[in-house]
Amino acid sequence: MTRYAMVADLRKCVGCQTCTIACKHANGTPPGVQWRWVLDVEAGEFPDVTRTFVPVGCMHCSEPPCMTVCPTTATRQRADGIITIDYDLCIGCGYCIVACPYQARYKTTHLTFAYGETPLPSEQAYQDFGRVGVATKCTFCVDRIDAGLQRGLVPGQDPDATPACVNSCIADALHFGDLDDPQGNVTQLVRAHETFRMHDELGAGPNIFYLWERKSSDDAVG
Amino acid sequence: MMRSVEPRPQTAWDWRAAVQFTCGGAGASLTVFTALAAWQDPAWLRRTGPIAASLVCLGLLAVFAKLGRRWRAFLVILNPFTSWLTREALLAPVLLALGLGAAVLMSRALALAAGGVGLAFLYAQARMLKEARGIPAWRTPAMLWLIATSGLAEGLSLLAIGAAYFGSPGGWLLPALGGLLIARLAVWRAYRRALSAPGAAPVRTVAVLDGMNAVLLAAHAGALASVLAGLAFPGLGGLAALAAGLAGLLGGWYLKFNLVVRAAYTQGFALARTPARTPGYGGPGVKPGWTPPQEQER
Amino acid sequence: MNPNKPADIRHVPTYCYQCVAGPDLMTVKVEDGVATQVEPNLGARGIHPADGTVCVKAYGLVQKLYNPHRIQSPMKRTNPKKGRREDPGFVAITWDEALDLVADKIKTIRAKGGLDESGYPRIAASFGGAGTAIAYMGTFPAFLGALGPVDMSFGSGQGVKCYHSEHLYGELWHRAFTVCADTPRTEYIVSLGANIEASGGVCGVWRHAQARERGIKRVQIEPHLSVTGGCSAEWVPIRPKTDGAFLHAMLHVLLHEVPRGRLDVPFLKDRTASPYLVAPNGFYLRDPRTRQPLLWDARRGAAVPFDTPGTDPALEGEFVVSGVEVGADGQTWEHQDATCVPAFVKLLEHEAPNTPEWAELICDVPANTIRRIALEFLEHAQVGATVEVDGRSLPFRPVAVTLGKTVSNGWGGYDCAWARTLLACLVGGLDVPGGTIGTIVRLNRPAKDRQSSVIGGPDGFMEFPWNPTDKAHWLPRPTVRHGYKTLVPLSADSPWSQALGPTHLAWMQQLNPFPHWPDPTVPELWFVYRTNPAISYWDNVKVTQVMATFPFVVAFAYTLDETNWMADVLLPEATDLEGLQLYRIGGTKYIEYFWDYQGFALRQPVAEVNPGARDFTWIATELARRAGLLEKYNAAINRGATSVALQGDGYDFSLDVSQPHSVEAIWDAICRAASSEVTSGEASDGLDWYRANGYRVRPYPRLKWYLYPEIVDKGLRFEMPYQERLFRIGQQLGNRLHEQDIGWWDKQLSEYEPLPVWRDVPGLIRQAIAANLGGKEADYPFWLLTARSMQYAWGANVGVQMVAEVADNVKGHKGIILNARAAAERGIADGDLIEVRSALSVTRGPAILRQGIRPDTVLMVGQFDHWATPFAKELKTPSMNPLVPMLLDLTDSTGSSADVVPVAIARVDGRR
Repeated sequence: MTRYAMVADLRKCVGCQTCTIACKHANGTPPGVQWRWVLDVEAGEFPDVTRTFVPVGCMHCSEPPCMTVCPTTATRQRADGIITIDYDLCIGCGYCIVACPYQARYKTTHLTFAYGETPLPSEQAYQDFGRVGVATKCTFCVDRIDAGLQRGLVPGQDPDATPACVNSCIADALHFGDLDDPQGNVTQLVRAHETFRMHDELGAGPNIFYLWERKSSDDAVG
Repeated sequence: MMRSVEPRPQTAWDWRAAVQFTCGGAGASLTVFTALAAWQDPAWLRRTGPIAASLVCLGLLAVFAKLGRRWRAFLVILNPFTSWLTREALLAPVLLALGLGAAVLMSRALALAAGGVGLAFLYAQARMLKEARGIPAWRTPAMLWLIATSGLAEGLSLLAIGAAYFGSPGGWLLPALGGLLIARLAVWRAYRRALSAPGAAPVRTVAVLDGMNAVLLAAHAGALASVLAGLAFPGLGGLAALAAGLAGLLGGWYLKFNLVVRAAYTQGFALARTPARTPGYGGPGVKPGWTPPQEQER
Repeated sequence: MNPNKPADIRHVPTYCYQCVAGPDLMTVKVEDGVATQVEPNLGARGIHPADGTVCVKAYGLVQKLYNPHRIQSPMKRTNPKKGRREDPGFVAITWDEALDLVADKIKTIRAKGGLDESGYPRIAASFGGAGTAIAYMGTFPAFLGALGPVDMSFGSGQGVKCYHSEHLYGELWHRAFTVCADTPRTEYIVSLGANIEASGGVCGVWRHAQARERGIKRVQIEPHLSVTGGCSAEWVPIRPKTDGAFLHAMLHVLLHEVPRGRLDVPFLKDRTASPYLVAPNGFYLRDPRTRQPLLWDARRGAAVPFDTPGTDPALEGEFVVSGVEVGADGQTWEHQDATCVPAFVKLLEHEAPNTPEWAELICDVPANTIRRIALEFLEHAQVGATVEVDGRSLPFRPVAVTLGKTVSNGWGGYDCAWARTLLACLVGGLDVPGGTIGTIVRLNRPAKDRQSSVIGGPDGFMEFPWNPTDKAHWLPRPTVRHGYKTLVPLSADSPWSQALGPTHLAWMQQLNPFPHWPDPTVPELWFVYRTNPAISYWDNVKVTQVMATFPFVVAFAYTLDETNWMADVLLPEATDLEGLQLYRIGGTKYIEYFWDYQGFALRQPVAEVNPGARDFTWIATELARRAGLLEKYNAAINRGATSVALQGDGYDFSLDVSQPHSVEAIWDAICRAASSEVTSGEASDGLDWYRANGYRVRPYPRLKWYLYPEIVDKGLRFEMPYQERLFRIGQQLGNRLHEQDIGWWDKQLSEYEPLPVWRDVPGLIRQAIAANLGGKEADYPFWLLTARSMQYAWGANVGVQMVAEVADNVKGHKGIILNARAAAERGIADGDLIEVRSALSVTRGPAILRQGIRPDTVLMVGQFDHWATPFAKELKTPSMNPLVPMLLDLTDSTGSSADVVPVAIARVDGRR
């Protein structure tokens, strides 16, 4: 089996938003819609303060609350774990938006552009009425993965089969791969490090693993 | 738009969604009580039956209005397996057909069937909110009871208002309404207590709930006083029922509207640990906008 | 994924050099002729230090390309009045008209001679972004070279917003125009305000991320918790502008609180001037015959010239010796049996009072914290360890001290740059693997690499191209308006020196002429490109007023902005993704940009060029042709004014100087020369090869990341700790200025100390402002600072919507950051509109409450406050620049000032 997952190394992320903007490029999302973005999280009280940068977006949960509530089955889970939205089925009821504990979903009511009413040529190229009035979110660049797989590429290793945000990361903080592959990059990373999943207590089984510390070598064995 | 780390008000479901829960819930519940009233006097089938159906329709229209893709709204029926929205949508036409059929045919049996479906519809609504796991104010188990009791109280309140005009359906009306109001108040208190517990809900959600309390207490006090007055002074009759019904209905709608539109903060974001920027320097977690950890420990 | 199924998809390789920490490689996805996506050039994995990635700014370029607010054709001003309130009345003209207009002006000016009655160039030019503009202006540098004298005094922010002291002193001490940690190897960094995660480019971010994974500990010392502070192991909030005291205390700990043997004593003895004997008047004691500095040889028990073989130089002790002392202007003292001490003893005495307890009161950092950091620095230094690099055994000292802007410019910058370099010397970690290293030369020559410029001098140090201060050679009349050659010996006289002069002096004297200084004439022609001093300079209201007095301004213009609002001619040039240019990549360059490869990358049009715009090289060629400068211009290209000389060892692709050449022909020749250089003559591929492949590199030896081997090979010493030459030069400069009755530079002269004496810099700033602008010091209890934004810094991208959108995810871009408790005490809640007032001016913006900032500090990220730039003017984001005065009293001896100003804050009601 295959279960695609992402690892975000919180030790490395600097909150630069390169992944955010690379996602916007790759997916042609309109102004204000960010399928991937990075939080700027402050904690503590002066002078004991920390600042952490946290990439977020759709967690492609194993038990996706968005999917079970969807009245039209537009939201589905692929065998490889990727959560997809069929824009032709979605009626834009917004139920999945409130069901998602990660604020990962968007719904726009009309086309909007960077500068006023007229799309730039680059916006025109990606203009898609099919994404208006329906729920949208991070796809793990599923088209890229599928196209890559067809060419025999390995998602997470070959850039042409890897999500754009991961390719773009300037801190080597984002990793993508198959969690069911014991030798895979994300499996190895998760095994060798202390990780957590956000809001794990809610039971959705999110598939972005936040890496925050290396394990001592004893722990890493097995 | 600045993306906040803290929970922020959800914007996906606005006042139109609230109308679905207020009107739809009250209407479905009114179907139930119409059937009960009609057991003694079938005339109620044509008195409040159409009102119940209209309210349910109004709720559905409101939902329809907020859909992003209205022309394919019929696809809503595709997921009866897990989606309570589909289930509600499937129940609605049955509810309407039975309710109107009961009115047209003056059939108490159909009315009872409609009442049963109304209960299911109400339950579906409550489950819908509870399954919205992105909203801490909704997903708590107490929400189920709150929506259910409030829906019932609203339906009976509507019947009480009707009683002011058409005459009482029976001596059970005011005691039953009083009982439902007390039940709703108790559930509201339990709900608030559950969400006010450390780490149970976003701070701002709790603040909104706190702000709602006075209005809700006043509405319930007014409604219950009217109920008592009606019981103590039967001569007040319709006036007491009208006052109790209005207060009970508006209290319920105030409750639901605020739960859907104002108290519904998102989950926000949290870190179980802050990262070790050098090995050994990892820090404790953080959950901005929620009760701080030290208060959780108390 | 494009939903519209394009028929033709191409990935065009090019580079991004929007910030100084590049250039980096990228590709642009072009679908059916439309540029749609910026992508990393992942084919460069293993070659580019950050595996071929580019930062967030690069992704703004698609919108920059298609921005509807672009200037669509050359424009001419019709309103002769200039000012913020005067609509320029730009009207479209043809390229012919525009170029003739400019060429005629050049011809008229050149007919009068290049210099005006004050001796200043009649033509001036300003370019932005720390030299990044050069990577976008094609052959325009060759045109400037053909033009004759050009005044580049009018700065865009350099000196007041750069690492100025680091640049100048860094080049003096270790050929380090920029200084950084050897991040791939270092294990401990003391970072004083160096916002490397925002300003270090992708190479910096990538390497520091790897280093964190590896286990580095970085301690970030700064008044507010920057992005870099957030990514550090520890944040130490320090009172603004007291970093010098912190570093003095670190020196104290190492010099007075740990056994001497834990320091790198051999390094101090053999690779620094620590043993040089200091004579009674503060200059080195010298051999009467050779004039070489003397040191005490413990082995012989005698003073000997520093380069005597087989000595054991004494670092400590008092010695009765004879020799000659050479002061300023040739003054000499003969000493017989004078008591002298090594420079190291002078250092010990100097730092004796600077205890951590002393510094605690100044810096508001607990003494034990300072002490602990000093000791951690020493522990991590691994004194005595070695490592092999390219087959050579070198000292391994994995510790570094890095400095940020505002720390390393203005008063106190000398202390910081000196103490940082000295801390490295004490542990033997200067420019060695793991240590504090330099990355580029900009003042020293030749500039091929750092090593080439290491030329031994008579005192055993690297020579330095000081601007002369001796009577025979000092320039009493400044050659350009800020007078760098006259006032700042350290700024040298390379092509970069003008940019490193005291640029605010050029603006200041336009309003208030300096006594005994030439009349501050205005330039008759001012070229402006990729810079917006009307926004980015201090006291920008006055700067704007000054530029409004310039009679003829030619702006290469992308959109309207606050500076080209004053222009007479707007020339829309082909922008980042439209122009053609070959540029050097790799080797070692700014900040963390050091590679294992070096070579060239091509910037090329990725899609159809905006029809109104023209390639910069075409514009330069046409201007040269029309102004009668063609031969000189072509000759400058042939000499290598763009990036590579067209004639070299075994190749000659020189252009016929008498003919104008097409853009493609020029760059084809340059590409061929570059191919020849990179392949040592084996290949001569031209433009087409680079269009297809993007870049070409050859290995760059890692040994060249470090200067230490060169110092050893040439038998030289780092000029540390004692600054005898600066001491002498300062006295000579004072003599020269006083001979001209110039007394207004006296405060700056006081900084020419052999060992920097800590001044109360915060007090000095407050006093200077009160003295010059009135008001009481207590009226302005807060310090206003700024911080670098990776999304914007140097990018000239403030009009790009997508950048604004994603920058908003990083706190502070749209308001004023202040401490939550300090705000609560003043009744200020998050989001409240607040007023920030300095003695000069006032601005407003929404409050952003954070815990990660000192209660006495206020922060405005970036530089905004636009009023003409489309899109940007809608952002309504406050800027500190209008609040900061340009004052001589705030100017240090290098001609720089720090980006900090005392302010008051208050909540205001109503709208901005």
